[in-house]
Amino acid sequence: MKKTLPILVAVLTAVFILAALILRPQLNGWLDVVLNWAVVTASAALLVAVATLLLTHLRAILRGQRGFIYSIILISAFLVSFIGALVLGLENSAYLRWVAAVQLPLETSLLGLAALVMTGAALQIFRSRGWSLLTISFGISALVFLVISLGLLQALNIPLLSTVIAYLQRLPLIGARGLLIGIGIGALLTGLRVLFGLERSWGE
Amino acid sequence: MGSLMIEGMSNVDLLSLAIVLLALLSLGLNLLIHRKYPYRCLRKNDALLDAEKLMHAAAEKGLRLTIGLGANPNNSVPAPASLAGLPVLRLMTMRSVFNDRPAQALSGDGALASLSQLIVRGKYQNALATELFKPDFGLLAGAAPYAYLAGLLPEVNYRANAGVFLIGRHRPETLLAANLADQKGIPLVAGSDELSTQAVLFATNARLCLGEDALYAGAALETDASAAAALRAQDWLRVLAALGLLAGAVLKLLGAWP
Repeated sequence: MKKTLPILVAVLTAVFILAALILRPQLNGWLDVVLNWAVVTASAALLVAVATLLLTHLRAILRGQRGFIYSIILISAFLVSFIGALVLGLENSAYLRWVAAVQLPLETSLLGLAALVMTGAALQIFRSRGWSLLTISFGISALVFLVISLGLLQALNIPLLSTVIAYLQRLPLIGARGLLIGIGIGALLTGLRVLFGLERSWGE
Repeated sequence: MGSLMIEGMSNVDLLSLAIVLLALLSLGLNLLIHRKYPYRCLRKNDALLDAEKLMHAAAEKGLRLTIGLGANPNNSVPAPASLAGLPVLRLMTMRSVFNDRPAQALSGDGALASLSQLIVRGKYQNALATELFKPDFGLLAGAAPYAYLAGLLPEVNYRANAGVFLIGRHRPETLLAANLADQKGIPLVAGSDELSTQAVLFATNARLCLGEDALYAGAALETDASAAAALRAQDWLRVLAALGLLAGAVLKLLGAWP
């Protein structure tokens, strides 16, 4: 019972949502209610996960584990943000500014670092993957699209060249569509497995 | 009832419904046809086969395996692709219950973190070793994609890692974790449903699951018969999609399609 009940709830919810998408006018009101439940459940799961994370870091501090200073920083940052939101409210402009002042520089620097690493990795691709048809076409297409993105070739205003560039610019879209169709079908089948209780990675 | 149903639906809705029914039919048929030997003659992803070897190697060397299950970009309910890493975590935990260093799962989403805890705890219960279970084995690395990345990096950098798995919804910035694993010489198996992530990870040493292969980890690892049936159904549907696209192109060329 302990194992079947969550699966049953998951299956019934999934069947209901699928039915609501088909019988939209009749079930629209109920769909909103069920989606709200999903949001509440996801928030509760987040709370549980955050509590586990905090307990893990508290234990690390109490045991004086290596790198516990980072645990202190994490818990302090969490407490300041949490109490700040409780006292000032989530819509408070000062609170939002404070959060943005911490979050934005961190995210931007990570993004900048990722751009640098990406350039380095692109240059080293032949060393890491070796010379193959795939890596050569990867390298050539990266170069071609870099040159096209510069816009210099378009500025020459040669009709034939513009037609070739327009054709080349369509190629990534075609490739991406092919991959996306595969991913879409994969996601659909995974969804159906969840719907019928076949996908039970978490079941035991 | 039937006409009432169709009245409120657009052509796109009807087409979607037809695709869902077709997918359901092919899944059911594949489950039925291959019910005795679900994994026989199955197309398997090399990266996921390597994952299994890594699990054995980690057990022999007494080292740890780390898995990043991905983050949810919109902080909404997890999409099917978010669940992609869970079959790997399931097998990884099963193999490492009595290891010196048990597997470590990290998630970038609350629901996913709770699911990973559920799996890990379930595997310890199945092995009658509940006393060995610690909640730290399935942790929330961060509630936002960048926070997840920041939480993931130190775990990839952990000195006793035998291998790192990044399977689920990962953004291109995950390249930082892949690069760190590269620098430390840690084998990496990666799979994501994001095209840009697949492209950037191709530039690393990672063993990659391209396209939708990451969604069928349970089939490649032979732990989930329904995943094997879904993989076969996927191949059928892909052939149908290709034929449909070709037919559409021919009809358009002949002027029969507006």
